[in-house]
Amino acid sequence: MDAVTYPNEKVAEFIDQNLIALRVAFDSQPLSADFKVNWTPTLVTVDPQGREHHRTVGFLAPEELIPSLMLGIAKMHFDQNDFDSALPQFEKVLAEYPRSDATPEAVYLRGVSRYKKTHNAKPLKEATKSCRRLIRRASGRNAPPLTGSCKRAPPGPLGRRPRPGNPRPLSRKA
Amino acid sequence: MAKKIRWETEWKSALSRAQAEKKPILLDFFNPG
Repeated sequence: MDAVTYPNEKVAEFIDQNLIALRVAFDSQPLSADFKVNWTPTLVTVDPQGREHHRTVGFLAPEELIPSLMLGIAKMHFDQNDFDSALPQFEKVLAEYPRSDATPEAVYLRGVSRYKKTHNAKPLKEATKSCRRLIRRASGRNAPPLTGSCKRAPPGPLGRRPRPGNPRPLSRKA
Repeated sequence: MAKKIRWETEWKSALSRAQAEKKPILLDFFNPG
């Protein structure tokens, strides 16, 4: 993250404008235990009351970190039932980073937000269909059935897969 | 001049800033090696 992603100007600008950046060592207590950290890098989106709303584990390139952070901000509003704030954030992920790893979850939660806001089931059904399309596109015809959310996209262009060399194990060098 | 991320290093000060600026926190657990 220090070599590629954090020095990226777009990343730095996005974080500066939208988030308070806090960096602690993986074994920093009691935070590490409170957030159940067992691998690095672990990136957590936390609201101003200290509650977690989103996390990723492992290296993210700039074009993946920004949509992931956008998704985290959207999920914070979603979890607070503030759908008027969540919806534009989900839309922003889909408009600006339509092929990112954050896309399937943003599609699904946008549909859920619309449903919760209007109690009309149509957006939810459309979101489920869109998720199926995204997963099929990513994995071919043998896509597994959905289990209620787009979060479990299989490895592929839209799914997460381990990156060689990252994430780093939890041990400091001697 | 290129923008750099201004990292907080203390939970309490990050939380205070988050409340004052009404922004979420990006909490990065990293391995200092």
